[in-house]
Amino acid sequence: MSLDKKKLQAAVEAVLFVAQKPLKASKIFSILVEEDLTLDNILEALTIIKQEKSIQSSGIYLANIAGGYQFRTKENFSKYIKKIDGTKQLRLSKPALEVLSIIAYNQPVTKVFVQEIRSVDSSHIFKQLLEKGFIKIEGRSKKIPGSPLMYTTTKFFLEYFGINDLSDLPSLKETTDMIITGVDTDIKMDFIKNLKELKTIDFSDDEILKEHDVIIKNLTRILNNGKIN
Amino acid sequence: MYNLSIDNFEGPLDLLLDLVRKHKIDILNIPVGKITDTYIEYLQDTELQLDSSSEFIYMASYLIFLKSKSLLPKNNKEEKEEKNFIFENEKQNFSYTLLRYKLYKNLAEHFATKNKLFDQEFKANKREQNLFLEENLQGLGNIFDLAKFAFTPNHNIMSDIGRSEGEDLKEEILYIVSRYPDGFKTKNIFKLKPLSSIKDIVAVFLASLELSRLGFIKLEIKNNAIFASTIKPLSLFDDYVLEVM
Repeated sequence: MSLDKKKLQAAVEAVLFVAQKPLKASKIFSILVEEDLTLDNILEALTIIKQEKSIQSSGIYLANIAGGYQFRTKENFSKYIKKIDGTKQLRLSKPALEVLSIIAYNQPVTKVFVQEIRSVDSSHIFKQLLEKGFIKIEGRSKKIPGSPLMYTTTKFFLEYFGINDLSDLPSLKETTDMIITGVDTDIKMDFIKNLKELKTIDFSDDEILKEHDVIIKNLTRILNNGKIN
Repeated sequence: MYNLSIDNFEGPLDLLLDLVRKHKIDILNIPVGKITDTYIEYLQDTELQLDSSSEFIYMASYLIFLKSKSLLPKNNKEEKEEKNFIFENEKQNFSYTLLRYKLYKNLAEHFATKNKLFDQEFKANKREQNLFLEENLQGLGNIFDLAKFAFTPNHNIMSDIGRSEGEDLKEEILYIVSRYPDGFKTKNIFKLKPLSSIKDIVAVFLASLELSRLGFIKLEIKNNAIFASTIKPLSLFDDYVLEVM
């Protein structure tokens, strides 16, 4: 290997310092094309950098974000950093967070799906989130008539919330605890599944309501066993 | 007394959740009559702005509809049973819709806390202004989607292209040609070069069409995206061709 361990570590650090986005180990590998260099060498270097930066005398640390690595400042220095120009963070409003969480947990989703859960028009929020880069258009739905656009969250969404990948989202199970306790995890997931299929409030046809009976019964059965908070 | 404004609520479900909490109503067994009266009373005491309140009024009419269902006279036992069954279903559906909204509201709060924590950390570089365009484009291979996206009013694309369309196109083609001396195979056209503005997108799109017209590349649409492959060495491409354009 033409780069020795110390030099490799320095090179990885330099690359990460300049990068705009979190970098995957494989990406760093493809940047530092050197003879005999392996992906394991990079991973090893990253681990060492992580350890070295975690000591108290370092103001930054190596974070795992959106499936990659990125240098970030440690949180105790935010009051100083905020005085520097251009460090103001994007802020999301309450409704925007609501829409974002519905999308995050059900993606890909259509606008109508989100609107049904919130019972309120959400178009302008979609526009905002698209413009700010939190969500993107994934294509069109093949199943739903009229093939509406489907939306998913972006890598920037992960970056913004400091999430490594979607499986790192706070699990629905935990959050369900805020609503229902005293039942098994399986039942909780069943509860969420049934909630997803719930029909929207409208002046419904009696026949449709009869068909909908199974979902209502399932939910009632689950809720009878658990405790509602 | 409440502080009367529907602006404090994200929608009718948000208001209903608040009423349910304030009146200590069991969310799974909502007294339809009571909630309807409370809800409508609330709306009456509020100055409603028409554009922001249609959803609230819609919900009010739904609640009245639900209440009326519970009051309709039933002729015989059989009809009574059927009507009751449907009413109970509808009522529960209503409860669960509220519950579902509550679940996502909780999640949103969770995100907000996460955001607050994360707000305390900073990264070295500011985000590239139009970074998200790249990501957005992956799902936008369809020409119609692209057109719709590009001509969204606030992107102001018309003024951008209007200024120097011809120059940009030539530059774009030369750039692509110089970047790929050995050609390429089934490459997403939006990955031919890093894109940082709407103008870039349109330019790379037009450049691809032009290269295809001149017989240098072949375009095909696959999985909702446009792919290009070289069919004639790009090295044959020179300024002369551009002059003819």
